[in-house]
Amino acid sequence: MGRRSTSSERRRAGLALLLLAAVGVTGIASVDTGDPAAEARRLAAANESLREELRLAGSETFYLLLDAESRTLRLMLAGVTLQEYAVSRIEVGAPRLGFLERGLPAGWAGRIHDAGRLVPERERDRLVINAEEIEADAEEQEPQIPATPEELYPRPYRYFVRFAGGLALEIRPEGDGEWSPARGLRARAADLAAAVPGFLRAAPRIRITLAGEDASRLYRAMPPDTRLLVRGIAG
Amino acid sequence: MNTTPMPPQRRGWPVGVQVRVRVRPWNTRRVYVIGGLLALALLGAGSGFRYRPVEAPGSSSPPPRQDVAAASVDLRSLRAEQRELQRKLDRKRPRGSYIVIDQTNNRLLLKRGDETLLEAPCSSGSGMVLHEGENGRTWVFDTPRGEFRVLQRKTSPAWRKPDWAFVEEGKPIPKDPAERIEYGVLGEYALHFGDGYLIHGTLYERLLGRSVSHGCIRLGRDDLRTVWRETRLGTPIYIF
Repeated sequence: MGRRSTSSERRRAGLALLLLAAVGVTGIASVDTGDPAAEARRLAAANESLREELRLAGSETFYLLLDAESRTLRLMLAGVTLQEYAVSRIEVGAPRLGFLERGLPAGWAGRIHDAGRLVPERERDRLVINAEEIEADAEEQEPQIPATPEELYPRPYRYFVRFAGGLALEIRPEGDGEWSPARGLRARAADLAAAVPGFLRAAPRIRITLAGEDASRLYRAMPPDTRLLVRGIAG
Repeated sequence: MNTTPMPPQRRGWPVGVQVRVRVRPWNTRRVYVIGGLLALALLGAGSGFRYRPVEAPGSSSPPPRQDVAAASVDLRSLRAEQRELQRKLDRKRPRGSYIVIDQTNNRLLLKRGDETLLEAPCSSGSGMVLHEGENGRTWVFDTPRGEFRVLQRKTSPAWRKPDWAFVEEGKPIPKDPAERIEYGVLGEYALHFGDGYLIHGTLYERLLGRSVSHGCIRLGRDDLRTVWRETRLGTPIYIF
């Protein structure tokens, strides 16, 4: 038969639990690096980023939130996550002409980038009907099955969201399955062409890698005039 | 005295002999072309974008955007500010269930917090353009993007056919409002979210997943029942 615990044992157990909780809290509170100045800089930057996010959440425009720490890209509106994509790789690119590399402007990562547009554009193929051409008594025709979103908007191997200040977000699918020498050459030529304006404007490029299906979904779903906020990248 | 000139020596260069090399113009051009190509190749080889991977989580140093002096740092106030900002952000998120519609991929999500209660195929606006005729009206059958709310809920809704429905069928627009009413085409339920747009059922479930509607969101019968059960007046709807 089991022995019932005495009140002193219960007290001791309670104290032990309290002690454990206190140790835990202290541990959590002292996550900082030990350098108060560095911790203050980290907190100040994080708060600045939160303020920007709050500004975005208060607006009526769609925005992308790229978080380098959680490795996620989120499409958001009014503080609500509409879609979340896991990012397997994030790279920051600086424009280079010859062997001369252009430094990136200070603070490019912590601010909001406006007016993002998809390149290549996802153009909507619209059917236009004139009422005068419709015959009321025409025989009922078998309606055509419209194309699926995948058929309507096939994703290019890589695509960009270009923002007003010059920053570009490059999105690529994971793996080499879709890569081909011709695609590689085309991409190289396009990068060469983009390097000159990029160099002149000191415009950075962020390259992210998503799962193939996520990259396709994002390409099809990206609303026009999207904004971007990058978190957790120094710059 | 023999004045016959000596034949030029073929091998070796005699000391003191001046060698004159004729540079033809095409050679100069060739030098420029080759030089230019080399320069282009060099420029091309180095030009483009140089990528650096962003470090693993936790190892990246924070941006020193604000020069905070170590001595005057008040970490507690910064942390308190962070909590307050986070609270403000959290307040922006809907408390109960909400609907997210990806109109291009034709997917509807019913969510509560981070939890997805339902993911269902739907049909959004076809994007078709209908012209009434010369100097007539034009309708574009797009689904609007943005943040909306459920403004009205109806069971067994009747469809009050708008003008475009008659124009599209090549029929005259009726004068009698009763002639506009059609039953059974919107399914069991309809959720109005403004400007005549609805989430409703459909007779054409085989077309779900494709953009075929006139701007409304069509759902399959069982999915519509779930959405009806989980939503209230004022439930937020986000369409992108």
